[in-house]
Amino acid sequence: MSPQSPLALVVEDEPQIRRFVCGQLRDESCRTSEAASVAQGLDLAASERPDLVIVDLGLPDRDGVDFIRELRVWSAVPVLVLSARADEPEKIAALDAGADDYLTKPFGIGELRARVRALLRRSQMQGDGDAGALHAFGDVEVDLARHIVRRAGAEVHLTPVEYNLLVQLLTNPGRVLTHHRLIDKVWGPASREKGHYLRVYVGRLRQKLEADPGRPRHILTETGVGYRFRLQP
Amino acid sequence: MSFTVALQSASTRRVANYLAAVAACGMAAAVAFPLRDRLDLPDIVMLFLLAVFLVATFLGRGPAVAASFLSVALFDYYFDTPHHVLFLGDAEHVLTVVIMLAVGLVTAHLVSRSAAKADAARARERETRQLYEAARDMAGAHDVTQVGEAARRYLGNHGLGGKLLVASGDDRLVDSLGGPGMPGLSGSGCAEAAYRGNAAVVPDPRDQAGAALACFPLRAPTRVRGVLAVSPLEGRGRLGEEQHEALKALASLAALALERLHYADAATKAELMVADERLRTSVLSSLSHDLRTPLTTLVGLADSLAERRQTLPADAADVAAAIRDQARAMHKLLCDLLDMARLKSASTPLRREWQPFEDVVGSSLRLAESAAPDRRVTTDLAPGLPLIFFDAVLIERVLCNLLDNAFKYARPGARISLAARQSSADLEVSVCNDGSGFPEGRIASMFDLFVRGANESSIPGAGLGLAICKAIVEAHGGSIGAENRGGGACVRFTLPCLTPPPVAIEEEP
Repeated sequence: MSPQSPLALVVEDEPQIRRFVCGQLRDESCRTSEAASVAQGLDLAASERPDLVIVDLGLPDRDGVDFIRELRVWSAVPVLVLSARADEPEKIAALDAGADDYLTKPFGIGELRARVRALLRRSQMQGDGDAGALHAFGDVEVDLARHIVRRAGAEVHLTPVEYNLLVQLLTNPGRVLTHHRLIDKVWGPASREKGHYLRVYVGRLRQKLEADPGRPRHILTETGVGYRFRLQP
Repeated sequence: MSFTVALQSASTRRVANYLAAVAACGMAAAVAFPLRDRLDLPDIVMLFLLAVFLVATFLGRGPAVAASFLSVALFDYYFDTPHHVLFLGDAEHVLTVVIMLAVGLVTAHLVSRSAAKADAARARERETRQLYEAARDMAGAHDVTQVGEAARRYLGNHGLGGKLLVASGDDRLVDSLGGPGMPGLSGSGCAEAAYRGNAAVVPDPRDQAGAALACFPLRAPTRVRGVLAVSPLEGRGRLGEEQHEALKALASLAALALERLHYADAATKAELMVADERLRTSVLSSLSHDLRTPLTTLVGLADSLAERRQTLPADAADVAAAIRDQARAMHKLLCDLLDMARLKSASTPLRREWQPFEDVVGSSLRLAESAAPDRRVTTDLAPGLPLIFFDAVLIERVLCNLLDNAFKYARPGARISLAARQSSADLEVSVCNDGSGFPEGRIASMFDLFVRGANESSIPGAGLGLAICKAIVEAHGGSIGAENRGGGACVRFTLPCLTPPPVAIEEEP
């Protein structure tokens, strides 16, 4: 494997899980580095500068959320969280601390590799600088510079709130955005109790932009956590 | 000491008092007689007056009156000239008699009044001490029986019998002590009347023949805690009105004691429940973690192996895929069991939020259809559904379970439909397939734990799915039911449509 291939750091205390996750990462042509605790993980993250971090939330020495919070102080590396089902508050805490995406245990390797690819693509894009003002998904085109949204060539009218919400989703493709984060960005941090506004407006955006609003293909619901914008279904 | 003995001794004492009065007058005469030539008459009168005074002081009114008359008679007979003649006619003697009578009566009255006061003070002191003892006993009582015993002890000291009836959890009056019933208590309705009316029910003082039963409500700060029923012990006449106040005081002491016991009991129970919940939660979460970690490893490793179709013999890859699928099924079972345990525990918080129902339908369809790529669900959501207040994670689970069931029990290519509409105060959701339908006669029991549509069939599942759906829907205040509908099975559930918060949508540009 060439030294130019991306480096993934896996912070997980269970050696067997580490083993198959690293195996899959190598199949995705990543170099891998392994840590079994938060302390070791932070050391390796600082010394090796990985391009992707996969972290389990249940680590023996400290909380995985702490790891993410500390890492985010000095690094923007994409972080994928491994977490148990029915732990939505934990997932939300991890995402709010700065994680980009999560996988619910147990997960198949198909899901794992898809997430890893998406995150590596994003980190590549960040490295390449601005994605530009023009975005397209499905039959929708968005020109962020001119505030114009077109669907199948025809202009779509969005209210200012709808537009702001779309911008938040569009500029974070593939990333899970928690309800809190979206409300903070669109309505302001003083509007935390406006959860139902967010859900109503997401519904309106789907009506205007999705081919089948009942089965959205781009603006996806991460139940109990938030929303995810998917560029290509 | 019985009542008759007391009476006898009282009459004997009265006779003795009179004899003593006579003796006192005799003594005065005997002392004065040898000095009759040396003393003036007023001095001798003084001597008799002293005798009357002493009699009045120590022996009471009757003996004092007797002593007055006797003194005047003795004085007149032995000392006044002419001696040995009893003549009480003149004015001088009338005055002496009157003065002596007056001294005797006034003294006797004063003495008896102060004696009565002293008696009353002593009685009050005894009363207070007994109430204090009852209060002390009740304050130290560890259970209702001890409170009842303290009350009974107090009543016994007053020649009364009684029962402490305590209000039970279902608002009935229960005898705290057991033992023989009180005559006339059960039939009279006295206790019920005092309890429901929160007022003392006492016998009518004019109705001497009626029941002698009195009932006092146990009024505590938060509620009436029961009734104190009191009646005189047999042969002790009737309950005096002056006793009512003391009995009310006893009743309020008992009420406070019962209230204290109630809250002490509630606090203990709450503590136990918290400890119980904590244990349950910690067992569940460690179980969940300890079982999930090896399952995650198993799924991941088997999946990695199954992917190597190029390098592995085909049957080995198939075995790896089977291991992966079985591990996933086991994980699903684990999740179902843990969810059921959580839902059954009282403290599981629902994370309910106001949201459109369409949102959770979309995410459920994505999950269910990705697990069964050959199935396609038709949706029929009525337009303009209101915001619903629910826990999205749990309701997604209900929809996924129902869709999963609909897939499992339908023939390939069957139509599966999911519909939602508002009907009066509820959102009504139905998931239907056109399969074989539910077995007749089993529909009612289908939502019970571990009951399956087709026993021992080749279709996997543990019979937890519908039971979990039921628990989730009921936790939301809704209901769930199943029916067969023209060549297919339908499960319908409702969620209450509460009043949603307002949403102000901006004007369209």
